[in-house]
Amino acid sequence: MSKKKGYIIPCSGIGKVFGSIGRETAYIVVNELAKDKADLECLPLIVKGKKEVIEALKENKIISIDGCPLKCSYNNIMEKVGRVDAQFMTTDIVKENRDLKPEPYIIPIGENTKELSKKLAEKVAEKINELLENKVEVE
Amino acid sequence: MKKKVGIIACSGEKLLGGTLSRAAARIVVKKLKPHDTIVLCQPLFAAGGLERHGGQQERDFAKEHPTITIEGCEELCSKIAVERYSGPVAATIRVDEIMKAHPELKPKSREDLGKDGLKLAEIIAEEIAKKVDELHKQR
Amino acid sequence: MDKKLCVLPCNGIDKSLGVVARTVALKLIELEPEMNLICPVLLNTNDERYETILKESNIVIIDGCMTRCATKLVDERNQKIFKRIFIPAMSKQFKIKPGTNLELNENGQKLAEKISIEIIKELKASEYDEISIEKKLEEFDFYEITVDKYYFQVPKNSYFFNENDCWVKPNGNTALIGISDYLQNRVSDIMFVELPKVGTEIEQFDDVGSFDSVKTVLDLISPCSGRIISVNKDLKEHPEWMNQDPYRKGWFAELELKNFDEDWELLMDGSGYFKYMKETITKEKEEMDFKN
Repeated sequence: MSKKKGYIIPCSGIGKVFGSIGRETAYIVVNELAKDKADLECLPLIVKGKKEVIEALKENKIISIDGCPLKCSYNNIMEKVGRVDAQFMTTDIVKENRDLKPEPYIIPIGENTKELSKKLAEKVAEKINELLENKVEVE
Repeated sequence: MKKKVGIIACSGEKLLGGTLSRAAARIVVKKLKPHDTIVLCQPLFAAGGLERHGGQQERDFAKEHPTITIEGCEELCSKIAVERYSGPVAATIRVDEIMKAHPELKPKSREDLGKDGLKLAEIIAEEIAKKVDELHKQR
Repeated sequence: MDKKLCVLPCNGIDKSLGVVARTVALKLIELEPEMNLICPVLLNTNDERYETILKESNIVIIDGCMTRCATKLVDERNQKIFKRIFIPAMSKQFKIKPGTNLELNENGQKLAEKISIEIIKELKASEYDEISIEKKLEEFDFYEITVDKYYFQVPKNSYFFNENDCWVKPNGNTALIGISDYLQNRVSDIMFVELPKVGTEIEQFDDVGSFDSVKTVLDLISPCSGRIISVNKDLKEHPEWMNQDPYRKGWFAELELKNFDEDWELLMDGSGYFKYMKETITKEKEEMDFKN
């Protein structure tokens, strides 16, 4: 039986830096902090309803990262999969770190944006560990 | 009067194609065709929503203006979303096909395009800019 | 006057959350037999059948997914809305996940029960508020202009504006102040606010607090003179309300007016500000074209 993973789905909004923070956070978690425990998934494939993707998500833990109150990632996953095990808002990490105001440009991302992404990535990685260790099903 | 063209890039995070699509979209809208194009946010577009700043703005724009989708892979998520919610797309750019046509350029990774990746993004952006000119000539 | 109510569920049949929406509606009419149930299919095909009921009623709209079919059916009408329910958000609020089975499981039933009880509670609490709900809706008649994919709104009545894109909404000898839709759009996402101190005396065109967005930091320039009697503390937690709902939830501060009879002469009403805003937008576009 294969080990469970935490699938991270960032909203990937292109217009604003908050989408970039989510994306960068996901990369840090998947490549560094929770290497064997986390993976990314494409939100558009979930929206499209791709069977293999939906099935894989249902069998694992799901973490959404959104960049604005519209919560495209969270809401779409709820609609297509019916469950999100943990959700994060990149705007929250910005509010908690007022001295690290993110730069308004996104390619490439600025130093403050990178720093904020690292902070959020730590929280996400911690949550993934919790979810994977916790054998009790989330209601 | 020339209508602005909506550019809607793949928002997939798993593949390099997503990152290239987004980078190319920003180059077109910020550098090559800043007065003729506007970015539409793909996750917002798919999510819809009638709240202010919701995807309905993106969808309404795509109903009245020509739209070019930039696809990161063969799934064509952006094209499908536009056709579902707004109408036929004016053009589709396949990033995977452009990558095949330039085997000498090897982007570093989905997280960091590197020199070659940015060159490839410029090439994709040029293709999009050409399509924008074609569309404006037709009208 | 009796409050007349009706409920319109999305009736989504291919998703469990749509089934929850339907179940909530059925439970509501069980708990409040005088409530009218609106069939979305019939409303869509033959809306004359519901013309009278809808005219006389406030409506509870229940949507099970992002497509928001029930909302779409109603939004084209000038309908009085009592409550909008979005089932995915309620599932999160109550921490109950109904799963994906189309036949509602225990959790699904539980969720539907909790949502319907909450709606009934709000109904009872609002028995005396019907008139104020209607008043609020009347006020929000907007001038609107669309530029590219952005639209900018200016309330037609009750709001007055200065040239710094800040508004005042007088109500007797007090008034609310805030920023315009155009300004919130220009500054982009607002992340932090600095609210003024209650008790501060303000002259017209004084700085009264500030807000940080990802692009800039701006002061709010008071459209009128007076004394600050309250501030919108919720903006500390939800600064995004200034973007999402700049004329209502996004209000910044409340003043006891000092001199509005004179202050008013230096302000623009809704139609005046709309014209001013359009000219500003046109000038900006022309300058951009000229630069290139």
